[in-house]
Amino acid sequence: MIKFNLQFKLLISVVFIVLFSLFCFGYLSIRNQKTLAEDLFLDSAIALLQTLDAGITNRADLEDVEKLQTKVHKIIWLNPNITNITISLPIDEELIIVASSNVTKIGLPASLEEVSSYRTGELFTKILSAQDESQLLKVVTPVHVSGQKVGVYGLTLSLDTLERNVKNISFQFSVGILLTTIFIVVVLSIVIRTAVISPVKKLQEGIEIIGSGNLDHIISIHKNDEMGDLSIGFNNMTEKLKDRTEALAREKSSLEGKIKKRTSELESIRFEESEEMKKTSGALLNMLEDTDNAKEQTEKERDKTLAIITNFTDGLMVFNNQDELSLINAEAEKIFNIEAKNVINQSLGDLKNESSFNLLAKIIGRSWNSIFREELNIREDLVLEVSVINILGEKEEGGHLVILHNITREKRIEKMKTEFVSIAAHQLRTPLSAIKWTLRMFLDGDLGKVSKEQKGFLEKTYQSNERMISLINDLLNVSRIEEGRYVYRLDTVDIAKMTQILINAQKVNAEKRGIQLEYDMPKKKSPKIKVDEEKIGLAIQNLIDNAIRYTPKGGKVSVFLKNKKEGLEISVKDSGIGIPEDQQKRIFTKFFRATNAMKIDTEGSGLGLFIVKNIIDAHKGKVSFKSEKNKGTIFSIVLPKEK
Amino acid sequence: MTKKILCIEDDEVMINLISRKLSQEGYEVHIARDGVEGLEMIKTVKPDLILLDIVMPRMDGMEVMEKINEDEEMKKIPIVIISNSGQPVEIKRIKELGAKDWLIKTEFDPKEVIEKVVKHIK
Repeated sequence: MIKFNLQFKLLISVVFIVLFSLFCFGYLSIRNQKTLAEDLFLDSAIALLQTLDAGITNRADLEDVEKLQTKVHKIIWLNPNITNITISLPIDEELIIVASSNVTKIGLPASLEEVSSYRTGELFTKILSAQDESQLLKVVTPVHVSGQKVGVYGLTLSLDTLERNVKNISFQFSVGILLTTIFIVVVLSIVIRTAVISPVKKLQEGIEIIGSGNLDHIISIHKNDEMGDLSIGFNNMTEKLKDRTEALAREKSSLEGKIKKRTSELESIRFEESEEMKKTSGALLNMLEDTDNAKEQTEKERDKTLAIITNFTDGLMVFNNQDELSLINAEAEKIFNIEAKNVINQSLGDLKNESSFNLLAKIIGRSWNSIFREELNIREDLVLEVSVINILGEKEEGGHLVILHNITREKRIEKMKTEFVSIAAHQLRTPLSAIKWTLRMFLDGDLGKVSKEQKGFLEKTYQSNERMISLINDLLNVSRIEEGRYVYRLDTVDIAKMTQILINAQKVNAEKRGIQLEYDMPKKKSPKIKVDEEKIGLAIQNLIDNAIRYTPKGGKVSVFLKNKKEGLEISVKDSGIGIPEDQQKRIFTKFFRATNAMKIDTEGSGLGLFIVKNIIDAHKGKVSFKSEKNKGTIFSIVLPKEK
Repeated sequence: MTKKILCIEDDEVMINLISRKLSQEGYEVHIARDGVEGLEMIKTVKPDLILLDIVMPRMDGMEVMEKINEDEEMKKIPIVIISNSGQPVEIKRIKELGAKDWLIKTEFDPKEVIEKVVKHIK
């Protein structure tokens, strides 16, 4: 198809081009030929008229009409192309035909063309159409005699011959064109076939052969043109393709070898590994299961923790390290009569504007670190105990946990308890006081004379009574400690001054026992610390009391204060019996008494140091001692300074 | 002129002991057994010093002091409290109400009571 199409198209194009150019050329040639023939015709007509004119040399020739008529006939006879010839002369101001090949016209006036030619004296030509549609050429020229115009010749020529000639020429030309065209087409088709079509066909066949896999095929077009170049290029390409294909085949076979080898290796490995894989996947599944379990566990834990926080009976609020409220539980919402969604993520500063929050925000806002069980009266019927705990993250401070413990009920109970204690103290102490005062008055002789023996009994009774009083005092203190509400009132206290007062109170007692009591009141002002004055007083007093009690006559008890980095240290040193090493660990236990102490003094309750320890612990302080049996003991209390 | 001491105390033993001790010291002792009686006696006896117990029937010592504080004349009389408990709350209140001094029964003996009386009586 391609082959036919190409050849066909080429031929059609060539035929059209040749036909078109030949027709153009032929048309122009024929036209040219026709004009040329017409000119020749005209020239011959003029020549005829000149011949006629040459015969007329004088006027006499014109007057001989018969002679003129003969001449006219002669010309017509000689020239078959001339259809008519006339000679017109002016007669009485009018141009009259005097001689004519058409006899009927003699004596008639001349035509318009003849009149105008006579007047202007110029040659006049005109093509006329005859009645039978044949073309006629009319030539009119003036008749001169001795250089003077005397009349007009009129000549009418038939152009039929001319037309016929032109037609003949055109026909011959067309035949020539047709023959030439056929020749060119034949020649061209042969040329195209040999130069283009057959090489293309060869190329096509070659491509088909090469395409079917025969890369050894060589396309042989030995031509010194583009087709030749194309075939060379194609052959080169085929060669390269062949090389590549071979290389590919080599590669493929080597790859196949490798793949086979690898496959067999893999199969063996797979066989070995399948067992391992089974184990591994089993382990992995177990791990996944474990992870799932752990996740579930963690979620459970988280839910549990959240549930605990949410349902915690104390109000809980968590502030992050930017002091923004990040969590608030239901109880806290209830306490402040607020909704979590309205306050969450608000900063402490913003919360101060919430009326119900105001009081709390005020105390929290002071300082995060200094809040230790602060009481807060939110309303008449709502008392809170506010505690702030620093949440310590692994790396940085994670924020603060604010615990709001509703102590309204405890407060009420506490009040009742205070009343109860007061009543109990009254009930117990009143008789004890009465006994004490009665015995005292007996001993002082206010109630009459007492014998020495009686006085001895009274003295012992008085001591027993004193012990009972002190025991009741200790028991009351212990019961308060165990209620967990022992330290109430934190005030800034001058410990040095307070110690001086305690020392003064003990002086008489020490003197009575023959013990030297020393106190170096520091000259420098000791740092002020916030403590419960009464309780710290009691603790120091207990230590001094013990020191005096367990130091033999002639011994020495000294009290000194030291301002240390970690706080204020109060030490009570004695030269007493000491604490046996094996009992030192239990010395702060309730009701515990060292064996050597019991031998010396049977009165002790074993509550003194227990109370001391509790008081100091409640102040976040430290109490320690160093003791050597029979040499002495030094007790030291360290109270942290206010930050 | 003998100084008058009004002892407002409900415990019979204590009354006996104190009145005896004070009489021995040469004071004129008047006894009231509760706060109501005590207040009336302050007006009639016009004592130079009042020894006042806290826990009493009818009207306790605190109330008595409150009433005393309402009267300009009575306010001038020095008061020494004889207390049983000596709890800090109580002591604080006593001070606030203007008592000159206080005694805790179990910690003081009659001799010291006399010392306090001597110290505060005009």
